[in-house]
Amino acid sequence: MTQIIKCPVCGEDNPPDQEFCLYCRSRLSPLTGALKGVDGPIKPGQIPTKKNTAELEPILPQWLRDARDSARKSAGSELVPEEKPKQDSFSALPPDLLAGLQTQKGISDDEETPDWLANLAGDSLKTKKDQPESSEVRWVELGGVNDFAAEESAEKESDDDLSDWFRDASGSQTAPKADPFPAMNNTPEWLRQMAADSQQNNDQTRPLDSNETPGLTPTDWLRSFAAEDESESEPPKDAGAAPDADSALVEEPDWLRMLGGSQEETQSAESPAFSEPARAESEPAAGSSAAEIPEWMKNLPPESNKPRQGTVPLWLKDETPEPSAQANVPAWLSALPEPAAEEKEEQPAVEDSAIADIPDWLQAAAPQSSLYSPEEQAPAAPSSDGPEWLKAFKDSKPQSTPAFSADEPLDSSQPAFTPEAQASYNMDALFTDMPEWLSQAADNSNSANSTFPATDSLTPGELPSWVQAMRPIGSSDTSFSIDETLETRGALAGLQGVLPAVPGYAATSRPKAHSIKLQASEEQQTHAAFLEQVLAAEAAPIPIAVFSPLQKSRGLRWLIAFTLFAVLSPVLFLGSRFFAMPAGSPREINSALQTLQSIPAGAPILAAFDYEPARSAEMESVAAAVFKLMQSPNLTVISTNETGGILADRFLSGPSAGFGAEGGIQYLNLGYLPGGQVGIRAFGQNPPAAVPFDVSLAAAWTSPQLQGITSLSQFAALVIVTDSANSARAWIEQTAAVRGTIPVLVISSAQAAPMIQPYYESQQINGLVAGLYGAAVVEQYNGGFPGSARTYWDSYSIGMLLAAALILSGGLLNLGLGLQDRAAAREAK
Amino acid sequence: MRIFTAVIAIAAGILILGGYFFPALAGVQTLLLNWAIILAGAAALAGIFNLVSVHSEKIRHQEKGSMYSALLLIALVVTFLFAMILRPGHAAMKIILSGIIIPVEAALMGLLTVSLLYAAMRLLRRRADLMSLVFLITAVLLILGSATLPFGNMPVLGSFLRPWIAQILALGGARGILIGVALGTLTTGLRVLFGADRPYGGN
Repeated sequence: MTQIIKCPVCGEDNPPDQEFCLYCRSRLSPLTGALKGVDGPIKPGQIPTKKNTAELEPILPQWLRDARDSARKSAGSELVPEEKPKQDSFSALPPDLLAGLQTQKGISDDEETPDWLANLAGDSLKTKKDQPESSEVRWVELGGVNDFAAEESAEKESDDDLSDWFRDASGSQTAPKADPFPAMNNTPEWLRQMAADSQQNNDQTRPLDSNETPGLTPTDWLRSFAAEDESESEPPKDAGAAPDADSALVEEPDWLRMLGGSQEETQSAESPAFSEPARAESEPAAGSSAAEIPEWMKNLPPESNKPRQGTVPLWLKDETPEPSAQANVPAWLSALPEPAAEEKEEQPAVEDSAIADIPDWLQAAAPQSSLYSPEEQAPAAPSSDGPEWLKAFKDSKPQSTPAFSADEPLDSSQPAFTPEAQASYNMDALFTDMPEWLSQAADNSNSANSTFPATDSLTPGELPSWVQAMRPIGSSDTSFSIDETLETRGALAGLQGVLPAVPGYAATSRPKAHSIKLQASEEQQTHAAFLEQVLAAEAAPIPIAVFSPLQKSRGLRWLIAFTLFAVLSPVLFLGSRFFAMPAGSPREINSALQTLQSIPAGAPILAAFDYEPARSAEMESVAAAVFKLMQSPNLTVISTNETGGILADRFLSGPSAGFGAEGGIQYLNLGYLPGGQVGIRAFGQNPPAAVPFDVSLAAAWTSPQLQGITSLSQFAALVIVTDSANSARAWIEQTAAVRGTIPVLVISSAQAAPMIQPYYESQQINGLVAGLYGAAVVEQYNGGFPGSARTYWDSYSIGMLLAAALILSGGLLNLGLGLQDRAAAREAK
Repeated sequence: MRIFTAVIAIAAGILILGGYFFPALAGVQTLLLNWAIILAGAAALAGIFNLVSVHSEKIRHQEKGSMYSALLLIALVVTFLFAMILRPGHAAMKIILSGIIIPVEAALMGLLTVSLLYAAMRLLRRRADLMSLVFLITAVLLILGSATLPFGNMPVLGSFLRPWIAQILALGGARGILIGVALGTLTTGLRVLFGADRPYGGN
């Protein structure tokens, strides 16, 4: 199976021996792969080999190198009055890719010229500084003018670095100028012109220094070769200083150095297209003018020691008759397929006319790689994709008379580039006019039957083939989808592909309203709802198990009422005294009895009647038992209750009290004391001020009952008759600070007794008589004087027993019923 | 306005409290307390007037129970007039008291007895738990201890159990309640003084 090399750029398959892609002309094999010897790749740890920047010139594009040569020429021509370059011959040239570089005019050479270039130029550049700046573009120079002038020496042409095509040109000087490649109808015109010029140069040897055209042309270096050849016969002016001067010059380019070595190694892949520099020729030439001849040229072997070599570019050399010439044929040229016979005839005249318009230095232009890898050249496979102008070289193979012969040394007296030709060249056109070969190459690379473009100018947007070959994969489509609409208004006028500045173009609309609502999926919403339920369940109160609502029983109420009436009424009406009186005496009752006995007779006693009419029966029974033990008390009655005063009056004047008017007990009713606790507080601090009048609106504190009493502490005792613990507490607490040491007796109902008991236990009061039970106890100590307590005692006891019985019986009954209901409810669930 | 009322309340409280500690403020304390007594009496009158207005509205709108409202207002007015004219010590006033006020309230108290017995009997059916049972048993014991038998006190219940429950259990509970009331009263007073509570109006 034949190996196939796939182009990395276009992806097309190519024969394995191809160096360049047949379709896109891109390099198939990397340059680094064939690096050997001194130029081999640097491995880790190795110290890089110092190279001269001049050695890099071979890798530059031909058009760039030619431009640089022209710059050198212009540098050397500054000594000569500068002539304004003619632009006529280049007006018809297509626009130059480097048109923008015209802006670099006016920049001083000193500022732009790099040091290495200055060193190469040597004295020629130094002299420049004193001279006014040239308006021409300064290209990078690798050497002085004389450096290249030595190469042009026709006598040392064998060591010259001029390409083979120059040699061929020199060899064909006697041949008719018109068509160096008569058999190549497809040869570009510019190429033919180049060959013709080379013949002229051989005929017209002209020192470069003397007759140098003022304009900067790339062919200056070629002319310098001729000049150097002439100066070879002259003794070296400064041989001693030559090396120094040369050493000060720019480094010898590799391609020049290698020209000397390539004479021995014709198979070297890196030998420049312009093979075998005429080192031998250059050395004597360097010795002739030490300041101008670079060192590398001095080191060139003498002409006699080295075989003569032509200056014909390799890519122009005929391959078949001369192996060396074949080796010098550019790879890109040799890789081109054999054009068909009919294809050769397709571009007869167009190419000739196109070539004629291209300057000589551009006519020599060729793709970089093809010039420096003659060994890799392989017989070009027949292909119709190659540029037509290159096919001329292939057609020239069978020619017996090549345009440029490598055997024939270049006549240095006849520079390859004549001043006339260079005079017609304009540096400005270098940057403005598109070389024809560039414009043609773009067309030839894409079409099989590509013809040489009729026009010299490149159409906008078209790229030469070698440029297209460098484009990245995938971007082979040269047609960019660019809006070529030229903007005519606004700040972007003159630009293409911009958004039109048309009012209203941009649809103004309100920004899209984005919902701030939480965007949650259904699953998330489900989870959130579940979580919410869980939280709600935690906060929800646990409902109490409600059983079946208990129906209100009116009958039971009626029954209870009837039972009480039925049982208690006869006992009450009969006044039975069947049940015994309580035995024993509680401590609080005993204290009360003792306190009452300590109160002297007729002493002023303050009695507060703060009970409700509803409990008047119980309270009057208890109060009656206590008040009967008092010895002619001088009572002052007061009440914080609205009905207390009248209740007090009813008690003290009624028959239940046992006093009656006949008792002769006089009492003073102060009436109602408003304000509750505040009133009690105020009364305690200043009784006359708090209650100045009695219930009859008479001055109370001037009456006989309150004669000489101005404060609470002047009373003999304080008796509180109340059915409320709060009222008792209020009287006890509010009068504690002002009553002094007067005893306090509390007559309360059975309901309030537990709440008042702590005051007795804390000795804030001196006695407590509570309820009918206390009254009954007190009456036993009254000398048998019957009281209301004894009257009510039997019914009271029967009532208590009945109530207990009802509660017990009814409770147990309802307990059973309730359990039964719960059991039924559970069974129902 | 809220700030003004708060300032008055706080200032009055501080002055009355200061009268207990600083004798110089005793006169101010008395004065303020006298004003409080007057205001309390006026508040009672305001209550009476409110009662009249409510029932008057009820009568005017002929709402349900307006007859009772009318009877109330009649009784109020008559009693008021009699008291104003005849004085509270007059016999008529005593008849009103003895014939109307006391029997009515006593009757209500008697109904309370039946209601309490009825509730006690049905308590276990509504809520049969330990506390209900303890409550009922305690009540029965106290009731039985308060009564006597023909031959004397209830044995054990009357001589030991009832005094023990009243003197020990009830007394302890009562003291706790009283202490809590006192502390609550103190806290409420301080809150009023500090302006935290404004029972007099305002937020």
